[in-house]
Amino acid sequence: MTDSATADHAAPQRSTRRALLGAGAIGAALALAGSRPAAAGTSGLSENDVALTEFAISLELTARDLYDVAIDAGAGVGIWSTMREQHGAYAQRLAGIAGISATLRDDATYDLLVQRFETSDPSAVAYELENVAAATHTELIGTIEDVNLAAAMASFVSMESRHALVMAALSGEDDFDLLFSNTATPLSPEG
Amino acid sequence: MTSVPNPSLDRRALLRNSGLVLSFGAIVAACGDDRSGSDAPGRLGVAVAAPALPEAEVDDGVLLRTAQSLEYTALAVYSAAAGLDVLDSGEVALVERFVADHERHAADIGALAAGVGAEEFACPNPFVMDRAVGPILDALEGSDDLHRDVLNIAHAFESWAGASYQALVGSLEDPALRSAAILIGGEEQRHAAALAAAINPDQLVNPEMLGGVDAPDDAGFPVPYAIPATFGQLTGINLVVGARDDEGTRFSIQLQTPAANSLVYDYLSC
Repeated sequence: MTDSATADHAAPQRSTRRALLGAGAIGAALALAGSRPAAAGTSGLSENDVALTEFAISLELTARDLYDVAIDAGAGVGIWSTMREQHGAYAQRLAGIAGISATLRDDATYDLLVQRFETSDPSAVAYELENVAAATHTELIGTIEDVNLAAAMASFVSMESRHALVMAALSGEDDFDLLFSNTATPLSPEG
Repeated sequence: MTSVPNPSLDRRALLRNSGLVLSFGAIVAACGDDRSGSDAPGRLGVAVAAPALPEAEVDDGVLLRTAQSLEYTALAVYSAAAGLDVLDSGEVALVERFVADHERHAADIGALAAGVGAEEFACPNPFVMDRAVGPILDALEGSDDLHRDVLNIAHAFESWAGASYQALVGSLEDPALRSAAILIGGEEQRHAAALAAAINPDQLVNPEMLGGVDAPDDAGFPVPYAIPATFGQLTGINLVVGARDDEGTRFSIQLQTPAANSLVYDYLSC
């Protein structure tokens, strides 16, 4: 990620879930991550599948690092370290299938959200992040050609949907529509 | 002179050798090219011959019909559970939401099936009803804790529905249908997580993921977790219900994602 990407999407002080999701700020930032040229894969995947996989990996690594921030800010281990490990595992899984490295976090999105994760209880923003991740993988599954990649992403959606429910419950959410439906806007490489 | 028996004239050897000749002759005869008769497998007794199954193709239409049947199976389970009248008001509200979601999912999947030229299958999955739901409901007779059983049943079926949609992603040909399937699967997983959190609020994460041990509880029931694993699992979902029998065991069953026996082929109708 470039410095300009960070500057272009410097974090506005958004404090509500609806504002974040409605503005699609994460999507705009991650669009830049997806716009870089796809690396040549060694797995026989199409160039488009490799590009989408890199995009998905950057989302997972961003989530992993944001949970690290919360842990360092006093959220402690337990469920937060679990969440960190979950997303790290998803990035590694995709990298393994595609034969590419899982190293590039999206700095712009990270910078956008990092302040909200600097807390001992990031459950509200984590709920948003998990919904965005699940929605994004759901969207990618409809585009990706390789069935193994699609199946792997489906297994992430299964768990990220559960993550979102748990995060919502931890944040005190009791609105059934928010608990049981995913209203997040999926991110896309095109923005 | 000492008489030495001639081995070739020994009675046992003679019988053995003649038997060998007969056996060899039977093999040679069997290899002949003028044999005739049925090629069907040999049968014992006079049972009625097994009916031939129709030829059936597994395509996106069949998979969507199967998914729709799972929604109606879940609705049938909730309908039976409601008749037991053991849930508190909060749990009833939760179940009512899940029922509404399953009805919506059934309609959405039905529309997708029609979109690929398949006929909707607006009824429960016959194989799952016969092999799983029926026996589970039968096992509730004389239960020592119906409230516990109903929550565990709901959790197991929601987990099963979520896993089934995840499995469909690997089978559906059309990527757009894969996306539609996992969109619904994600909602089933949310149902399952909510039920797990209601049953086991003190352990949201499987302790195995934290370096601990995941084991059945003291009464022998699988422990549900809102976050049970790193990746969505496609393995069978264990369900234990009912009272202990004379041997001290409870009814247990494993719910499996759809496979050859439980697919709703084109030739099946409600």
